[in-house]
Amino acid sequence: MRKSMSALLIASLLVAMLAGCANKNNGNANPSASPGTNAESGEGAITLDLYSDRSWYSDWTGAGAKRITTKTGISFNVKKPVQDDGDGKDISLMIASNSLPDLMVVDKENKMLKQLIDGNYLYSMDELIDQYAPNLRKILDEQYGEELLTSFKEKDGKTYKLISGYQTKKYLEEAKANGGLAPVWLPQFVVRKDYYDEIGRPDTSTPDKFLDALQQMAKNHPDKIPYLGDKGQHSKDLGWFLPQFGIEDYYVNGDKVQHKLHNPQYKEMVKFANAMASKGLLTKESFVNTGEVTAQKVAAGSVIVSAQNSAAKNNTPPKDNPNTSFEMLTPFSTYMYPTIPKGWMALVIPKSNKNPERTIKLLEYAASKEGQADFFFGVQGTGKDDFKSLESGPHFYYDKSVPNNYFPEGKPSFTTGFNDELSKDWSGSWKQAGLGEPIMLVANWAVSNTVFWNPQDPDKLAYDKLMSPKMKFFPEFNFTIDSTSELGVIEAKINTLRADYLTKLVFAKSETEFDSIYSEMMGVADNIGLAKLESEYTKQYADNKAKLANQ
Amino acid sequence: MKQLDASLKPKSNRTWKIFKSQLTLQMMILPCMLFLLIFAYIPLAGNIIAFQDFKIISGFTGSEFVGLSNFQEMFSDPTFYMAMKNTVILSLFYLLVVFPAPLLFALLINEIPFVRFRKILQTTSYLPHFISFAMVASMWIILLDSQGVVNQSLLTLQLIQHPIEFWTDPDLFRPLSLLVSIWKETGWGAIIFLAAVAGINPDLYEAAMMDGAGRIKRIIHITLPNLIPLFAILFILKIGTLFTGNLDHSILLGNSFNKESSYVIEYYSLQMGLELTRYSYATAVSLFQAVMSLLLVLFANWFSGKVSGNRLF
Repeated sequence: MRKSMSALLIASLLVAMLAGCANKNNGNANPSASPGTNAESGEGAITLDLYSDRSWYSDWTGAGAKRITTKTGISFNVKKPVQDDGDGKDISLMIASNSLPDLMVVDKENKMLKQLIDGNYLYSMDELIDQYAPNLRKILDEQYGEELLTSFKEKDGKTYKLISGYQTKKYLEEAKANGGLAPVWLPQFVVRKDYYDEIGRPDTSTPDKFLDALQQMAKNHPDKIPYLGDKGQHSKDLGWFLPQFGIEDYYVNGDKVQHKLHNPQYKEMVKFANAMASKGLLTKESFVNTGEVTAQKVAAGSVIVSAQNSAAKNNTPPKDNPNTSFEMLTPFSTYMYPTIPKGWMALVIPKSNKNPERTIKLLEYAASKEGQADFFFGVQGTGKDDFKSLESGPHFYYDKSVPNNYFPEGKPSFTTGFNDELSKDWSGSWKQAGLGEPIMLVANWAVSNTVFWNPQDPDKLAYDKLMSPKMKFFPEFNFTIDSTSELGVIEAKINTLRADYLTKLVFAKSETEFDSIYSEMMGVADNIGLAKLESEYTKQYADNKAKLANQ
Repeated sequence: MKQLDASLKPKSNRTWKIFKSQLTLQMMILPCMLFLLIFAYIPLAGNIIAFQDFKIISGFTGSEFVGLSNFQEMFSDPTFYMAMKNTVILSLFYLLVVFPAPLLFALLINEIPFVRFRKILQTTSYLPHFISFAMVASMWIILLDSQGVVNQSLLTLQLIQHPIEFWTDPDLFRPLSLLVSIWKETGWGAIIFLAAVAGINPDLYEAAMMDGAGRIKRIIHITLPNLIPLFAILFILKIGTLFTGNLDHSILLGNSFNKESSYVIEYYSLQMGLELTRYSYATAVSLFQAVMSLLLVLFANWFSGKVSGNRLF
């Protein structure tokens, strides 16, 4: 009897365990089953499943998300990876297990986006807009730029992705007018002001002049690291040197479009790094250190010039001299930051969506100026001194004294209290306020950036005046190479090859050795199939050029 | 006659009888068997995609069969050979150096006469096992940095003129990788041997002492022979990892300077397969590894049985 009882108990345990493994139904499959709540929209509350491939995406529990849910009646059950998943491993699993969510907000380069479109897993935006939210088309065309619904058409003529952060003509005009075209994060060489003052603040606008200045400072402070960056900035490519030498992503050589390895300027840049290394100004640390280790060394004051951006001037002074600061060195005269306009995040609606009508209507609201203000600015106040708390704001007000093209009430500006909290702890305050990028669905940078732009700030204007002419856009380089195809494999192998040879080239002991390593690298690249890849580049370049000419 | 009848009963009938009598125990093992079936055996069928140009959208049945082309590509890629060479060399070093370290450590700890000190040593030695490798790697990288404690001490003592480039010298990667592994896992690995030592009949030691055997002789003639069967079994299990390599070390301690010695086959599979979403190719690489590992385990099992009489199966 005891034996059979035990067997029965174990059997029930087993059944319970297996039941636990079964498909979890969160009870939201039938939206109409959820009773109406205090949603201002007047429609019943629903919970949609949202997937983002970005680890920084919110779990939709913050103060901003709650306000939006109260307003719209829609909340999200968010699934996101621990580490960014641009390779699309999560999406692959979702496709394989037939468990695509209601909505996806992923990086526009997520490798599985193409498969989702080709596999007919997505609703076309055009159809949903026409059927349920015709006003969204107007909002996108008038406030974002027509390109959003014209530049991302697939072969069937439909648009499946709603791209955020795409540099439309409208955005570029707005950014230019507000002194916000050049982002603060453009790669720059940043120097300790005290050491730079010591040598009389010489000109650094050419590679030779920069080397001379760095050498002088290194001579004065032999115990310091002359130049330091981190492996993310240097090991795959010399990312902090590329814009200084104005190197484009691809090399247009007559009729051909070639890989940048063929660009003489690229070779020149690596030679420059080699010259730095041979003088002891560039060490292997810049190719090995993590960002954290490098940041610690810079903060400790152990570094003379570091690979940072213009925002470094606001950093805490180096520990060994609290009376100095960091400053951006004058960029090389050849500085050019190339951008292939592709946008930032892509929003797609899988056909598994349980309520496409509510979803597209939510997007209509999110894309509007009202939605952008709710998502990116927070709670509105009446004046700059209204701020009470990070959670409840008010976070912003309309500054009547500064005109704005989008908001006739004036430029949206953060309240003084919120600004102070941000200055004290930028990421912590954003997290507590629970708004901004982590809850984004669709972003109109021409609107969302208005709080950061200040056309009356002389420092910001001076920076923009210096850097914006150095930003160039190359829509003709917007190539599509499927990473799983033969060409995709060749491209990946070439990129690995470039990274593998980079350190060999930078630390080559003589010019002869450098040239021989470079030739060897090009030989291997040819064997991998570089010519085949380049002929595809050339073909797509011609196609893009023709397409752009017709727009 | 009755006995004869019983022996003539079909085997399956007997098995069923035994199964019925062990029903409770069988039910207890059932979840584990199901777990193995679902997560270990059923996925084996997925290896079929190594012979396909697998597309998620097309699935197993709709993807095109490409025969051995993934394997052909793999065997014609010089990077694969570099990764394979590094994997095998590193794994051999692990087997020779890191694997026996817990045994030696257990023998040493066992000989410490002060119980309190022994316990403290044992506990502190296995603590590193619980630290995530990301933390361990960062710690060792900082420790052996050009401005780290080790280099600065050596410079201060004037034993070196310039900092040693520990993490960028390809020749130093293997010894350092072994050192980090020994530091992290020796204490933990020693637990199983210490447990085995505790199980040795104390009469054997007493008898040996009465016969005049010293400490070393007792270790050689009593402790070690008693640990050999366990050591052999662990060795058989471990040899299967010869073609696996250590991905943690490769990613977190490896860099472009030491890649020629740090890049292992799993990293290759990750980069060339999964990062490019080439699932078929990644599966081909993994299948190759799995087959090689299986052959090695079978060989080691046979060899161990021949030499020491200890077999795993």
